[in-house]
Amino acid sequence: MKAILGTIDDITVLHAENGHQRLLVSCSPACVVPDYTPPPAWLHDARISVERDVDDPREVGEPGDNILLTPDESQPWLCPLRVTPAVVYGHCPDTILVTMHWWETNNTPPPVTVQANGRSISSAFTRHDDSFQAEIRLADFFPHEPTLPVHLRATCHGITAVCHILPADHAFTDTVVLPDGEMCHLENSWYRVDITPNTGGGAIYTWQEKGRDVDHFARQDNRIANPLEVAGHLDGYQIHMKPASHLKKVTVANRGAWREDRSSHLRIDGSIREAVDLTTSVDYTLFDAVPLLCWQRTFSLHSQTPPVAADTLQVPIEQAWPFGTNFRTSWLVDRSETSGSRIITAYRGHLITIRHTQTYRTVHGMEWRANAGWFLIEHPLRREWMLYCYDRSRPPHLHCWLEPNVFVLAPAWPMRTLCAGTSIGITLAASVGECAGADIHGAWIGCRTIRRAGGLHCAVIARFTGQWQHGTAVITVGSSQQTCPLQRFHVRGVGDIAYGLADFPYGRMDEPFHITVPNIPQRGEG
Amino acid sequence: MTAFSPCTFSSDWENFVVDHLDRCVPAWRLQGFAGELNAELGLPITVDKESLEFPLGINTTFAQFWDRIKRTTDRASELLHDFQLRLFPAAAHPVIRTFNSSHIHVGTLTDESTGIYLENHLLDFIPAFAALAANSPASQGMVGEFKSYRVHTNAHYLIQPSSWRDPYVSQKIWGTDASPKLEVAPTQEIRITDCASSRRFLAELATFVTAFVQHEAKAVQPAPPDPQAYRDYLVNRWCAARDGMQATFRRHGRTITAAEMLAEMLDTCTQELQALGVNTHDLVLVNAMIDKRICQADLVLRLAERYPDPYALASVYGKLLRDWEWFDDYLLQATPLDPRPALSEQDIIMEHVKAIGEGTYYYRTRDVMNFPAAAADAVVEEAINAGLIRREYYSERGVVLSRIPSGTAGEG
Repeated sequence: MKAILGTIDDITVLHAENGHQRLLVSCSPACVVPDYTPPPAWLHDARISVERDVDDPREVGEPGDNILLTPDESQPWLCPLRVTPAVVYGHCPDTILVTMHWWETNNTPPPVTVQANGRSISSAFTRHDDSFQAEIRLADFFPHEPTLPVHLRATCHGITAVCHILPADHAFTDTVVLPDGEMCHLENSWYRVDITPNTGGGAIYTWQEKGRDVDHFARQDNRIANPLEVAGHLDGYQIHMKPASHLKKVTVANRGAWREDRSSHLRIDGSIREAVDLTTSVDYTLFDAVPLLCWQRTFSLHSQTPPVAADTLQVPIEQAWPFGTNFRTSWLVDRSETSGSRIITAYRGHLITIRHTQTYRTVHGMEWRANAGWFLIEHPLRREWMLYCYDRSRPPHLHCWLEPNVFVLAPAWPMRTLCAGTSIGITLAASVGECAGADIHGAWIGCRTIRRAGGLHCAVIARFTGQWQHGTAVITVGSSQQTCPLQRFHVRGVGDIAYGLADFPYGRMDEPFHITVPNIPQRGEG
Repeated sequence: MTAFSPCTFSSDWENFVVDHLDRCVPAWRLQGFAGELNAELGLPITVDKESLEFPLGINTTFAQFWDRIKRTTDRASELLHDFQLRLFPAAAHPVIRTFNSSHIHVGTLTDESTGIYLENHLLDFIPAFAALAANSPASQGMVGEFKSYRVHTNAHYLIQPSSWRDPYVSQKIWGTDASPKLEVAPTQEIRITDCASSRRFLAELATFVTAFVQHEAKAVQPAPPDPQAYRDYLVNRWCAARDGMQATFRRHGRTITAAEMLAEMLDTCTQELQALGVNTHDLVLVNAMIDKRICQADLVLRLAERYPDPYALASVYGKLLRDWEWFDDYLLQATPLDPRPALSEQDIIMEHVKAIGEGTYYYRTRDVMNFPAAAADAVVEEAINAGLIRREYYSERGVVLSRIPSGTAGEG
């Protein structure tokens, strides 16, 4: 997603025929696009070579000009040290492979040092094609099978990469370092969720359904983009007349993850660089038993800055700030001539569906508020659904639009007046799955995962538009069918959510999956 | 008798400026450069959005205009180079949202009423200028559906299609395809044209537009509104935005390619061209574009095929734009393109249906070809009658339209 913009040092013609040329371009990294940040420290004196096929050499330019690498070309330089595998579930592999994409052409990299279980072992690299590799035996660190999770930290030339060996069969939370950066990882038997601790003030970066091994926030390959702008969930706010801001300017002050009461918790606190003294915090909870993630985002205004001059007349309105909360979630768009990504909700006895076909044409819901307490987001062609639940008594206005290859949902809550010493927030609960239903009476999500003992564990998460409804869901996997009473689950700040669970000891993921919820028919593929 | 006296012309040419990291420089940072150029060149050079805007003064000949273009851009480039900046003369940028134009001002017009009649009269011809100038096929991540996203999106409301106006019952308006403007420079402003990337093409385009508008002004008469001709203008405008010089237009119940229409237009204004100091054959690029049905957007699209990432395209495109003859060189050796077929009535309906997903606001259908209410309603009714869409009324949400999936017509 990120790419190196380099300054060209030298251009060599490798091949020329019929006006077509293959060029070898040598460059020095100048910045990282799209954020235009300085290149990593290890690239300050590096020289990078790439090849370009051109019809016109002016496309490349001349020494002193820029050349933009692709994300695929940039990745080995931005993350030169890699551990394979980066994440393993359930057991220690015999070995891990550390690969260094070394930038000094005349030297070999220094040895890599791997640390785990209180031990530190160095190993020399050997050349392998255009990189250097070192194979590390895990038996040297763990004389017997360790208790998971464990992390093997490889360091070379001040660069670190980590191999995470994570538990396969129980819920946990931990910090992981992935090629995309450091993530706070929440996991239960249904989902793997990665939260960015340092960017976006705690945004949801990936949300993986374990049963199907599907990431609902998958991103387009080899395209330059800010990852959270093309997929993921970002909370946001609006202060005075500025457009919505999505926590890009948060400095994280504190974070921590823990297990408590059969659920995984994560808290991130940060301060926001704004005209006022503003802080934010988010508390995530992923429940062990049900496929449901909840979080509460709060914003607190502490004092007005800069201090008011002594000779300035003070009036109450100068101490007040209009403040609104919102969020922005984006997905890779799902699209055919007559179907594709859509948002579904209920409003005054109508089932409302919004499916865009025109890029950058926003649907604004300024005249009505989405008071059903839920949005169902549907990508029917790839069979992915996401259900958002929120407080019905103070609902948001709906905003949504298409960007090139991206589908965006951005609800905004009505603004309030915030004074120093006060806080404001929203609570959300969400679920993703492989089937769903929606009607004026409510919406539901169906999800299944593989049981440790074999077979499948299936769940339905439902949100009713009106009052709580007693009922029984029928879950079918292949030719097996089970009924499960819908049970009430109260999420503070959101309200009642219904869930039903069923085990299918002989069920398989490749069998058809169907759920019946009273009054809320299952959605089709169209 | 002419509406323009004395005969003058100019262009307000907007150019992006990018820094050494390929980022567009905001207008406020460009104000100093604009001020220096203003003082040095004696031209009212200013800034607009992410652009340096070059109003090229009052010109009476092609040679004068061409000289000003070269002097202005050469000096601007020198000033910018000191800060590792460079001009990015294009109507759209592959990454950002802003559009640029080379508005062409035909003067000197002192009678707004005549200008309004002339605007009505020019509706037949304005799409041809849009086709010739099309140069915005990559904008804000969108690539290739239109050769002029700027015209198709109305430059995010900075231009709008002309309305059929009567000077006795019309309000002053601003920013249409071809309206009169009597403040600052009293001219008929042909605003539909995309920003030119080639200096030579801008000189030829502005001279051609001026000669043709001055020629048509001689015959302009008050005329009652013609809804069919007006609808054809909007269809042609859409075709010009999509197809550029490959467009085929509707005219008085028949079809004509954009190239054929421009060739006719060029032939009609030979005297006016001579008055501006050129002959028809001196407009080398315009003639080649007519012969080959190629516009500047076609060159950008070729590049976009090889650089699908918008950032990568912007980087390469910016380097090529440094060479003012990039398009000129390409055009002269390029293979001609074929004209695309004219839109049928069924095509028009289907283009409107494409804009309708589910819960689509009624007014989104108006974005498609900018049809006025009666014409847009007629298209929507036809689509409903054909079982392609359904219409719903909500007290809070207004009128919304949804597409009926094929095979379920009649169920909606």
